[in-house]
Amino acid sequence: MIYTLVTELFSMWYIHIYESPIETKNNLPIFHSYSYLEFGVVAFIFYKKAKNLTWRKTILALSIFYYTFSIINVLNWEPIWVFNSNQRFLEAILVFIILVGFFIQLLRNVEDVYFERNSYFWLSTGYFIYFAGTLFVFLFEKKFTEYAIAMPKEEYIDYHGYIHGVIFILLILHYSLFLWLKEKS
Amino acid sequence: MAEREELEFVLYIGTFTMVMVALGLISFIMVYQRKIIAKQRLINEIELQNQKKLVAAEINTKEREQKRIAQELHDDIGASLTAIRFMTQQIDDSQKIKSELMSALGVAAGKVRRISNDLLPHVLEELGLCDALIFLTSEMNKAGKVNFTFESNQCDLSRLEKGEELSIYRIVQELGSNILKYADATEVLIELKGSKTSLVISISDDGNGIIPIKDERSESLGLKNIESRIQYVNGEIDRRQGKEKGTVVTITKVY
Repeated sequence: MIYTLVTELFSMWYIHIYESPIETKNNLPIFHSYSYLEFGVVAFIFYKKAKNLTWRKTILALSIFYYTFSIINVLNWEPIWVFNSNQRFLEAILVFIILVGFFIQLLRNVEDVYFERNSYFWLSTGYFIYFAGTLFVFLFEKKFTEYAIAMPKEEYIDYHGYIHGVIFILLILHYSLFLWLKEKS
Repeated sequence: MAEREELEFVLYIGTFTMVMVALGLISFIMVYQRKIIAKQRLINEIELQNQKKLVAAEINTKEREQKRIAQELHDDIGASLTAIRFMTQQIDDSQKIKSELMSALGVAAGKVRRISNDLLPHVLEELGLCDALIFLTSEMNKAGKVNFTFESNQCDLSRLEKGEELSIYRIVQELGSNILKYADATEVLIELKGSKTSLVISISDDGNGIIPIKDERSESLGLKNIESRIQYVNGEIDRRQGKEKGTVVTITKVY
């Protein structure tokens, strides 16, 4: 949460400093780095929560695959000044896989009688809703950025940005629930 | 422009669908987990019932075998010893040998009666739990070390099955035996309180406690026997320290 806040503030400052054509100078490099760290954090949390050694290795392999793809993507298709739709799409799919693995682990564990009392359940559902809800937003974002560049700034209304905002609020609510339950336990 | 609108339409529908799928999956997981838990509880319940049946079968087999041995001792060996005793009385040669033989046979017959009674409390078979506990109290008083007292407000225990009566008798017998061996007590009160809905038996002593707390989780055979029998009668047992000293053990059986 702190990292997100810092990123947002830094992005605002960054775009203010570089008031120049969007195709050459924008704050997307920060979003790229945010994505790398975001996946890293999610993978690390659920790697630590995984009880099965094979599943841990799978998460590790998925992470290596993600970062390898990210490097190839930046070098070939989506440089740091372009919105990283491919990378975000892959990130969402990989996070789904990791979360489904966590849900299966929860279902197999008969000691966890009530999921709603498990803080990590709420964290995982938060991520699940966030990545499901933003899958299409991030997939089309590159295209919408092209439209935004072509249109006058006053005429362009960023509806999908609002969608992301609403889903992000949901994620923050899940974060809060997670922290509250974790503190309680 | 049309392409952008089309793309936006796909975005809205796609996002809505994905959120719904996510929420559906989360709801499914929660419902499915509840079903698994319910199923698990049912399996546990069935396993518990099976265990209870096994314990009951084990206790019944043991009691049947004890009854058979007791009857053999009482009817066969006991009768033979008594016959020998009568025959010995008719020997006139040596008064001293005759009296020693009589005495030895008397002791042997007494032992057979005691073993037979330990294996199968005849008084329980014939007169019921209340009288059997009075008899048990008087037997334990014979040891002389501890004064056992029995009190009861209700001796009509017709709601108890024979097997249950025997199990409760065995529990009291085991606890009494433990008091004699380990508690270092002087006074023991056995109380039987019966009502329409429950039967409560409490055994309180003024000693060091029936079994030290540190042995609570031990593999003691006596404790295991008590636990199995409590399970057999569907009862509960509670052990706590007495108000001043000693231990109070309460056995509760709800009808």
